[in-house]
Amino acid sequence: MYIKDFLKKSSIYNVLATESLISEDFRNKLAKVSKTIIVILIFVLLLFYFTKNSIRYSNFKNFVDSYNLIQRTIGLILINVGVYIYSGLGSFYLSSTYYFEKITKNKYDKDEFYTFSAGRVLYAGRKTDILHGFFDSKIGKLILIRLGINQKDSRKFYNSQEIFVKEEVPKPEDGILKLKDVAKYLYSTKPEFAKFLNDKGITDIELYGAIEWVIYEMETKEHKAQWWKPESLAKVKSIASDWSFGQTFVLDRYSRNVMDDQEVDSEAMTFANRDAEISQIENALSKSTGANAMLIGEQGQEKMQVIWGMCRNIKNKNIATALQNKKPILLLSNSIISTCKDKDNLENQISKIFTEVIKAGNIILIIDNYTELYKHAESLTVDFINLLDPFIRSTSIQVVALVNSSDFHQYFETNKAITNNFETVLVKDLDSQEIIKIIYAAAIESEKLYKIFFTYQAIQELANSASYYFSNGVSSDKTMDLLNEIAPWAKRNGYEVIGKDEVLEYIEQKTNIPTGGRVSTTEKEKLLNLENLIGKRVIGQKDAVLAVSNALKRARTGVRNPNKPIGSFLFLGPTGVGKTETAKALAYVFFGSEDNMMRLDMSEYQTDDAMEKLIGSFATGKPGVFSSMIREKQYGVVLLDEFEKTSKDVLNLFLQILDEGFFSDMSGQKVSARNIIFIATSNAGAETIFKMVNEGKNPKDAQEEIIAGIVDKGLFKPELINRFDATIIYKPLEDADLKQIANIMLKKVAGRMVEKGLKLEISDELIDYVVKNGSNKAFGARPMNRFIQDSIEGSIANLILSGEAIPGKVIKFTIKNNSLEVKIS
Amino acid sequence: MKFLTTFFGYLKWHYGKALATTFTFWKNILVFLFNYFSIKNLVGNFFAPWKRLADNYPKKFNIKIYFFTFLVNTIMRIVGMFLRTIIIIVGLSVCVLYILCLPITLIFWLALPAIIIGLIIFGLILLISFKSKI
Repeated sequence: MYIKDFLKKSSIYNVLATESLISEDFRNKLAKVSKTIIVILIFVLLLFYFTKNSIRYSNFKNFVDSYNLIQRTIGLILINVGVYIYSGLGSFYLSSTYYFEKITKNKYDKDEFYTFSAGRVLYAGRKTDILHGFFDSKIGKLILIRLGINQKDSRKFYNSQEIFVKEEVPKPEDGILKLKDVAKYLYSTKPEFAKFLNDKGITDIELYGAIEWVIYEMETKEHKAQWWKPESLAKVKSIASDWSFGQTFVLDRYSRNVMDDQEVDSEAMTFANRDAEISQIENALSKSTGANAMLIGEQGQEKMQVIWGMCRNIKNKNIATALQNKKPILLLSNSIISTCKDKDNLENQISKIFTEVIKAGNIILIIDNYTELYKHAESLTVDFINLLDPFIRSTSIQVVALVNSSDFHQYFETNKAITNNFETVLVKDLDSQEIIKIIYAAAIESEKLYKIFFTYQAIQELANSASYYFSNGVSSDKTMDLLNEIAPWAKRNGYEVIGKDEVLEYIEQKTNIPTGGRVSTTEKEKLLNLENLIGKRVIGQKDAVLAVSNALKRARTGVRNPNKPIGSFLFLGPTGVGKTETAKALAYVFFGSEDNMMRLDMSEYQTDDAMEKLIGSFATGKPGVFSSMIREKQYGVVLLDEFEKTSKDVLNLFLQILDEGFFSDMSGQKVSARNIIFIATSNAGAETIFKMVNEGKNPKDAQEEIIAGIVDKGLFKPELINRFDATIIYKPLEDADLKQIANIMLKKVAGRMVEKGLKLEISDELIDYVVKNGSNKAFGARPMNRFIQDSIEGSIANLILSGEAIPGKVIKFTIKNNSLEVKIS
Repeated sequence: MKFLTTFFGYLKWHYGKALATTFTFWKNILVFLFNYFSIKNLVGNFFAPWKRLADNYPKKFNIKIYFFTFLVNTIMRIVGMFLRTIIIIVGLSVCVLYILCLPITLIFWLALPAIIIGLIIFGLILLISFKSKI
C-alpha cells in the first residue's frame, strides 16, 4: 500500500493534515501575538474612554470620532479574541487526540494503524518517500539533532538522495506502525542511510534510542498539557483531609513528610521502573497485622526511589486501599541519634513516636537508616527489637524500614522477631537501559537550566560510565550525580553541545583514568608501536611482549569486555628473564609512569589471615592492603609476584576478580578492579622450561605441557588458569639476549656519567664480562644489576672520590686475568 | 480541498469525540471538587473529635476525671462537627453550582465554532465599516 492511502486509513490523518496546515509553533505564536494585541487594545480603548469628556483633548476626541476609532478598536479586539480561542481550541484538539505509546499505557487502537510519530514522518514524505519524509519532518529533524548530526550535513544528504516514487509502507511489528519500525525499515533497506549514520559513528541501536528519547520528550510535554486528566487533578492537595487524623508533635521533630520531596513530582523519577518493589510493599502494608516491610538495597538513593514511587502512586490515587490517603513520614534516625544520648530518653522518645503514629491513624512510618538506630539503641543497652515489638505487631500501624543489604545480612537476617514482623522487599539494581530512561527527563531539565544540549550518545555514555568508572554506590545515583556535575562543567569549559567525547573527557578529568574516548594521535602511535616500545625494555621475549600488546590494544579501543579487568596475564618462567620488567614497562608505556605499577608479594599472603590482610578485617575494622591500594589508584598494573605461593582463599578471590572485575571488601563494599591490568608471575614450571630449552625445543610450543604440569602439582586450578586472558611462557635468556641486556644496563650507567661530564666507553669485552659474571642459569639477568653496581659503579665512584675522574675524562674498562681494570684518559 | 477535509475532520471531532470527552472532563472536575473538599472523608468521620484531640478515660474509675475527660472529648467532637459542617456545606455548594453551570458550558461548546467565526466576522465588519454600528 502506498503512503497516501495508508495515511488516510486512520483517524489520525485529519489531525496530521491540520497540523501541516497550521503547525504547533505557528499556533503558539498566534496565541501569544493575539493575547498581546488584546491587552494593548484594551489599554487603547481605556485611553479613548478617559479622554472622551475632557475639553483639553477635544481635538483628539474629534479625530477618534471622525475615524470611528473606538468601533474599529473593538472590532480588532473581537477578531483577536476569535483568533485566540481558535488557537487554544487547536491545541486542545491536538492534545486530546494525541495518543501515548511510551509514558502511559498504550492507548492506540488497532484501527489507528500508525502512531503519531510514525504518521508525522509518513505525512511529511507523502509526496516524496519515507527517507525524505524522515529528514523533512520535525520529529525526524529532532532525532537527527539528538544524534549529534548538524542540519547542514542532513540537508546535504537529503539533497543527494533520489526520490523513490511509489514506495510501499513498511510492515509494522505489532499491528501499529511505530516510528521505530519506520527507522528499522530505513536502516535495513536504504544502505545510503545506514552509511550516512555509520560514517558519523552512529549505530542502529543509537538511532532507536534517540527515537525513544525524542518521543518521551514530546509525550511528557503533551501529557503535562492534559491537566483535566484525573491523574493530573489528583495531584492537588485537598483541604481538610487530615482533620480526622491525629497530630504528631514528637514525630514532627525527627521527621519529614516524604510527600513534599521534590522527587515525588519530578518527571525524571517517573521513569524509574520500581513497580515490582512498590507492589510488594503494597502487599506487605495491606496485611491486617504486622503490616510492615523492610526495604533492602545497596547504599544510596535506590530505596528512596521506591518510596518516592509509592508516594507518587498515593498522590495519583493509584494504590491499594490500605495505603489510600496515607501520609508517608520519613523518620530520620540520625536526628534521633544525635538528640537522644541516654537510655531513658531514647526509650521515651521512641515510645512516644510510635504511640503518636498509631493514634494519628494515617501515617506510614518510614524509618531511614534503620540499622543505625538499632545500633545506637543497642549501644545504650536498649532492647530495641523488644521495645518496638508491641507497636510493630499492632493492627493499626504501617512501618517501612530502610536497610542496606550488607547490614541486613549482618544484623537482621537471622533475627526471628524481625523476619516475622517485617516482610522483606529487595530493591533490584536497574540495568543501564532503565537508567538511561531515568536520565531522559533529568537531562532535559538540565538542558533548560544550563542552556546546553545533550546528544543521545552522551546520555548513553553517562549511564554506561557511571558503573564502569565509579565502583562505589548505586548505578542510577552515580549516573544522576554525573549528569548534575557535567552540565556546569560543560558550561565552564564553553561546550554547548555535550556528546560522548565530552562525557569521556569529563570522566577522564575527574578520575584520571584514560577513558578511550579520544585516542589522541600520540597515543595512537604509542598503541600501534606498543610491542616495540615494550620490546625496547624487555629483551628476548618477543612472544610474550606481542601477546600482552595485543591484549592492550583491544582494551584501549573499546573492544574489550567492560565487566572485567583491562587485562590479566599469567607469566610463567624462570627468575630474571623479564617478567617484572614487562610489568614495569607496561605501567610506563600504558599508564605513563612506573609508579602506576603496584606490587604485591604473594608469598606474604600464605597464612590463614591472608584474606584479612588483603581485603581487611570486619572484626578489627582494619582496611586491607589490596582493597586500599586499588581504591587509591583505580587504574594501573598490579603485579602479583610469586602468585603460586599464596593461600587457596586468596586464589579464589582472584578467580572472582578476574571474572567479574570487582570484589567486596570487609565491609561488603564493592571495589572495582575493572581498570587494572593484572600480572601474576610464577616460577612454577621453570624446570620444565629449562629442560625443554636444553632439549632444543621452544617452550612456547609446549605451553600446554607446562600448564598441565602445574595443574598436576596442584599449584593452580585449571579454572583459574583459564580466567587469565593469556598464559605467557618466558623462556630462559640466551647469551645474545643477556648481552643486549648488559648493553642496556651499561648504557644507563654511561648516561648517568654524562651528567657528571664523564664518558664511559662500552666495549664488547666489557659486555661479555658483565654477562659472564652478572648472570646465571637459576636467576637469569637478575644479578646483573647488582653486579654492575658493585663492580663498575663502585670503581667509578672510587675514581671520582680520588679526584682522578674529573669532567672531560674518558673511562675505559679492560679485562685482564678475568678481572676488571679501569683506565682513565 | 485540504482545508475542507481538515475542517470537516475537525467538526467531526468537535461534535463527536470531543463532546464525549467533554463529559469525562466534567466528571473529572466534579470528582476533583468532591475530593478537594474531602466530602466523603468528612461525612464518614463526622462525629470524630477534631484532629483526634481526645483524652483517654482513666483506667481507675474517678468520677471527677471521668467527667472532665468526657467534657473535653465532647467539646472536641462538637468543634470537629462544626468545622466539618462548614466545609461540607461550602464543598457541596460549589459542586451544585458547578453542576448548574454545565448546561451553559455545553451550549458554549456546541456553539464554539460558530462563536469563533462570528467573532471574526463581526470584528471585521466593525473594523472596516465607515458607519457607526455601535
